Amino acid sequence: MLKNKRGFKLGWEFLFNLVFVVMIIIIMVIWIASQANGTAMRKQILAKEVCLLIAESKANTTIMLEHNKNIKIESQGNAIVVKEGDFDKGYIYPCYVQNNTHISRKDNITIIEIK
Amino acid sequence: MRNNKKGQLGHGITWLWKFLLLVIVLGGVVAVVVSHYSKQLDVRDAEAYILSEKIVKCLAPNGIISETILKNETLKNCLPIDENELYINITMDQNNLEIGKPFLATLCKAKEQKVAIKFYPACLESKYHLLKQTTLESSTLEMLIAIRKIEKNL
Repeated sequence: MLKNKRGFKLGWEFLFNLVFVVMIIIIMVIWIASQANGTAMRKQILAKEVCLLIAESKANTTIMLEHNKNIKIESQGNAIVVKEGDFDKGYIYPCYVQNNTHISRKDNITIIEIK
Repeated sequence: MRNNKKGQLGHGITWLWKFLLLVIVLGGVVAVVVSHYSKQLDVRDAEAYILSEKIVKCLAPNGIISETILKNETLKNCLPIDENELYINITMDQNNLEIGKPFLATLCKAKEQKVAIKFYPACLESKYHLLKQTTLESSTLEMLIAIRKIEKNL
C-alpha cells in the first residue's frame, strides 16, 4: 500500500510536469506561429498607411478601405489601432487623428471621414 | 526524519534547476524570435514631409501668410502635436516659432554631421516662398521638423 502511494505520487508529479511542459510548448508554438505568419507586420503596415492617409487628407475627404473581415481599424485618442480579431490588443501607432475624423465600419470596409 | 529533510531539499533544488533551465531556453527562443520578427517599418520621413506640407497649407492657405500668425496656438490648431515625439521650428523673417523637444534638433545636427547614433530622429528641413498678407512681398519660411517615434519605427 505504501509502495503504491509512492508510485501514485510519482505518477502525478510526472503527469503534472508533462502537462506543464506541453502547455508551455503549445503556447510557444502558437506565439511563434503568430509572429512568423506576418500578422504583426501586416497590422503595422496597415496602421502606418492609415495614419499617413489621415495626416495627408484635406477636409471633406472620405477614405474607404477594403480588408479582411476580422481586421478592425479604430482610433484611440490621436493614435490609430489595427486589431485582428476580437481578442487582439492590436498595433497602436501614434498619429494625428483630430476630432473631425470619424471612423466607421460596414462589413469588410472601413470608412474614414474627415470633416 | 533527517534523511527525509535532505531528500526534500534535493528534490527542491532539482526542481529549481529544471525550472531555471526551462526559463533560460524559453528566454532564448523568445529573444531570437522577437529580434527576427520585430522589424519596424520607418515611415517618419514620409510623415515629416506630410506634416511640413500640412503646416504650410494651414498657416498660409493660398500661399499668403499673415505676419502675426506664427504662434504656438495656431500651430496646435493645425494638427494635434505630441510635444514629446516632435520638434517643429519655423522661422520667417525675424519671427521664430518653436514647439516640442529641442534636443531633437541637436540630434538632427549630429545626424547631418554623420555622427553614429543608434536611435536617431527623422529630420526634414524645408523652405517655402510665401507672400506676406499686408505688403504682398515675398518671404521665405524655413521649417525644421524632427520626429522621434523611435520605438515604433526603428
